[in-house]
Amino acid sequence: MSSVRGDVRIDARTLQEALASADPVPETDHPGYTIGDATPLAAVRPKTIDGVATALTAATRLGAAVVPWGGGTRMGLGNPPSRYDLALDMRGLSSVVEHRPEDLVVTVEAGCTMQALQDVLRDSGQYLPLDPPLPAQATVGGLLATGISGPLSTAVGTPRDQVIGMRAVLADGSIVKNGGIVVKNVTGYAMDRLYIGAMGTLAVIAEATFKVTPLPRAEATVVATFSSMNAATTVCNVVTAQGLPLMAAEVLNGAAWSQVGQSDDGNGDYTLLLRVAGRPSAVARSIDACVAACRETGVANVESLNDDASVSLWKKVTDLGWESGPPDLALRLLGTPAHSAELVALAAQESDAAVSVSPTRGVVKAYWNSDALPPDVHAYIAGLREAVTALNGTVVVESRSRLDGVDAWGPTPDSFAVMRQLKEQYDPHGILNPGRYVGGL
Amino acid sequence: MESLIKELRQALGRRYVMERPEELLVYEYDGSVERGAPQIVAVPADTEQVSRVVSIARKHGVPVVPRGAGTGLSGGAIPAKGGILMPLTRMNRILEIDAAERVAIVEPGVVNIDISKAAEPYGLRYAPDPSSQKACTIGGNVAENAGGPHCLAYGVTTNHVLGMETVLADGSVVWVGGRQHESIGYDLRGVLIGSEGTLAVTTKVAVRLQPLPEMVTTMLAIFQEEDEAGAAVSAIIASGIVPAAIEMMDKLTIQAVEPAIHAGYPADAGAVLLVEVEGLRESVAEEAAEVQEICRASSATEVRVADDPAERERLWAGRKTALGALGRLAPSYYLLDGVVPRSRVLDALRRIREISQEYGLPIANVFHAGDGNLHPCILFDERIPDELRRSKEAGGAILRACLDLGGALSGEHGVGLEKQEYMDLCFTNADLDAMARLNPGFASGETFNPGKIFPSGASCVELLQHPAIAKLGLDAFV
Ligand SMILES: Cc1cc2nc3c(=O)[nH]c(=O)nc-3n(C[C@H](O)[C@H](O)[C@H](O)COP(=O)(O)OP(=O)(O)OC[C@H]3O[C@@H](n4cnc5c(N)ncnc54)[C@H](O)[C@@H]3O)c2cc1C
Ligand SMILES: Cc1cc2nc3c(=O)[nH]c(=O)nc-3n(C[C@H](O)[C@H](O)[C@H](O)COP(=O)(O)OP(=O)(O)OC[C@H]3O[C@@H](n4cnc5c(N)ncnc54)[C@H](O)[C@@H]3O)c2cc1C
Repeated sequence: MSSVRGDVRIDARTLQEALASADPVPETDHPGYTIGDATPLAAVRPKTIDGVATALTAATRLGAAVVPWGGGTRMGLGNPPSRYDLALDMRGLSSVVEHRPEDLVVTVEAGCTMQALQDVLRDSGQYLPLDPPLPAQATVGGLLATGISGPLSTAVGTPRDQVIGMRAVLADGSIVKNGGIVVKNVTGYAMDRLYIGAMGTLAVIAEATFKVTPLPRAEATVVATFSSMNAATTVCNVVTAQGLPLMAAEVLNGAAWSQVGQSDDGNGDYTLLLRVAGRPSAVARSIDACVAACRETGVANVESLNDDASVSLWKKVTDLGWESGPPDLALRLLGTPAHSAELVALAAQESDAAVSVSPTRGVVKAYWNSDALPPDVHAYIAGLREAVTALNGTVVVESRSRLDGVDAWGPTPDSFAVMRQLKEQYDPHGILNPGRYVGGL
Repeated sequence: MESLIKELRQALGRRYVMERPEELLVYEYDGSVERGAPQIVAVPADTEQVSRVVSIARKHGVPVVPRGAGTGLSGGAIPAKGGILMPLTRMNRILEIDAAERVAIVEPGVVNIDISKAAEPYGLRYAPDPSSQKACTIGGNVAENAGGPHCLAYGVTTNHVLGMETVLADGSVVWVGGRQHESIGYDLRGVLIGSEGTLAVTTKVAVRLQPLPEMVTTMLAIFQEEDEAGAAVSAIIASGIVPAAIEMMDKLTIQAVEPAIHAGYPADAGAVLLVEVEGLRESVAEEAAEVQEICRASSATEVRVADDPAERERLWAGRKTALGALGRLAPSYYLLDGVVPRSRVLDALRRIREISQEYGLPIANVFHAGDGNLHPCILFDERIPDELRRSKEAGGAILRACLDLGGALSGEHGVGLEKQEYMDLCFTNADLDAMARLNPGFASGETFNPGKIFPSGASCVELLQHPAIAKLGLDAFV
């Protein structure tokens, strides 16, 4: 077997031999690393950062294209890599290196799953306020590589905001670090910011240090259903302005609400979820304030869920659309908070998408299963992109199982020239996840 | 040179381009120990003029050094290689406050505290509050990724800036990040924040605003021993409370402050702790009670509590006048900015005491205890032969001690000229090379603020810290 890249021919044997010391994965397991219909020529699962470096050095020498693998839960995010020779499975680096509860700091290897990490932290009454879908599979490295976050970032910011140090391996095999185990640090450039959210196209993340947070003593979620999106966002704004300890706010349309297993009485309704956390006294007061804000708009049915019930509802909300693997179509619309309602209307027009929006962040997620897909998906996405771009927003195609030829990211941002120059600097031979990211990065 | 000045004057107007030595003199300093003169000072009025200055400079092959208020403490705004110094202070308009979205769009020369003042009528504020907030600019904050006493709970500049309009070395104007909370592509915003003006010029900033807390309680606890105060800090963190601020003053600082403001600190006090909790009434009351209990359990001799603004201000007074008061103890001082894991603060203070003895120089400590960010202040007299050299060496020893304890060279003041020669103590060549690749990535060449951050092999320059303090008045605090 071999793959051709320009005039370079990569021979599977040569590649596998070069990787002999980097914990190769037996060939029989290679199908596990299939992306679309591409299976790599080789796969490694190094147990140390040096092993990662060895693999990347060999890949650079041979010009082999590398796809870093975490849990594989978002392997479909972005465009399929334009070349794919080597799967670099990071799950061999799976330990929690050091948890310093007294410093509220933890250092963890990239292949550690989010659940394994949270389990360690919970023993000390702490947690990392990031709650990815499918935490038993999703890895720290994958989470940071995508840089995407969910509802909790209303309160605590994005994954970037939690990272205080990082070790990464560049395409040429050099092992680099920045930051450290201190919570405040401006020593040198913030390189971790560059690697986080780069979709594994600039560097392979090997280890990260996070600041962690004490577990809240209590939490609750107030649930209220409104007849219009505007009514729901208005209440959300009222509540956020009050300085309540609001952890997350999300609005689900009727289809989404029924998909998270709740009753669906009345399509076209919008259900607002307000999650508060803190001391029991503050939570009680916050629930009252949220309920009052809802009632003021005339909604009759306001419910509040405490602690475990609240936690499990949010788990369903984060998994929404992905409960049983990738949905047929998943779009993520990025805009400003003020455009939330408009984005929701655009996403749901002429189709029965399940839509969930974070009005405090202007991030809309829409999911379709095959029976509900818009009739002409290509035209639909193109039209949506045009409308959303007019609002200075972006449409990301997160999953499109049967959609060839649709770019996942759409128009490139203003600063794209710099991004391309950075790609040339950090991955000059284009071996890391080639073509996956914006504009073919 | 002449045609350079002519072109700049065409772009900005005559009076905004200065070249006479007496005009340049005030721009030789910032808040740091460093000093260096520009050849030209050019003060643009808007983004377009910034872009023109950059293009003209590029054409003539001279560097541009952006400058805010010049309160930086690591020599960031000192033109290390001459060229054009470009203060952004004329660009000081708050362009927009969007209360519903809790975003403000401001020009880079806006003074930090003015954002919060403008937001206050909407019940909002801009959280990062460097102690220099009455003078420093948001552009300088972005460049240094500034922190402040209240960053313990809310994070530093990078956690509150959604995006910036920037001028790149080719004169092009691009937004990185923006009003959107999420965007696609590499996080240029995150990389530029803290890049100390070496990669691009910030011409607009979109910042997040947050609701003002319903209630704030400030506590001042007095301890006989530094160790007791340190234990109290650890116990507070361990209890799961995340106060908005935990600040500490050591014995020497207390001795300097007491005669200045008569706060009533006992003569034998070993340490003073300031703890502030804020949020909803309910939780503030509970947390304040717990903090007091912890302080007493750690042998605090006295705990003062205040929750109305005037009273709280009185409790902060000692902390806020500390630097000015220390300035009276010695003709000069050298202010450092090391950081250690918060549980190692006491070890760091112990090492600093040893270093103080070794070098025969008094060292005061007034700092952000909650996040392990130390500000040792080495007192010396530059007229005494050798004191200058010894204080610099003591500073180096302290930074090394911070690294030994698992810490870092700078918590909030940046590397600039001050700490560039220490960079290879904590970074390998590969680490530094990865950082250096940002420069060609942004195609900035030698255009912006050259000669900073990376080790140059040169030795440090004159230590002179008084000018900035004088500028900010004696209420300046760090
Ligand atoms: C609250 C929350 C909500 C989220 N919601 C969404 C969502 O709606 N949609 C969404 O797409 N994501 C979402 N994410 C992010 C998603 O959870 C992460 O993408 C996921 O954790 C990926 O983990 P993984 O290990 O399965 O990554 P994988 O699927 O294995 O990899 C994902 C990508 O990252 C690269 N990669 C993996 N590991 C590394 C590494 N160590 N170094 C460099 N590159 C690497 C891969 O090459 C691939 O391109 C959310 C995250 C949070 C916290
Ligand atoms: C008394 C005192 C207390 C202090 N307390 C704190 C504190 O609590 N926390 C803290 O973090 N810092 C503190 N500082 C340090 C200093 O105030 C901060 O670093 C501040 O961010 C500098 O802002 P400035 O406007 O004065 O910038 P300057 O000193 O003028 O410049 C600093 C750097 O920013 C660059 N720069 C300025 N504007 C721009 C722009 N528009 N575009 C690109 N680059 C630009 C300059 O080139 C330079 O590298 C303190 C300083 C003093 C004197």
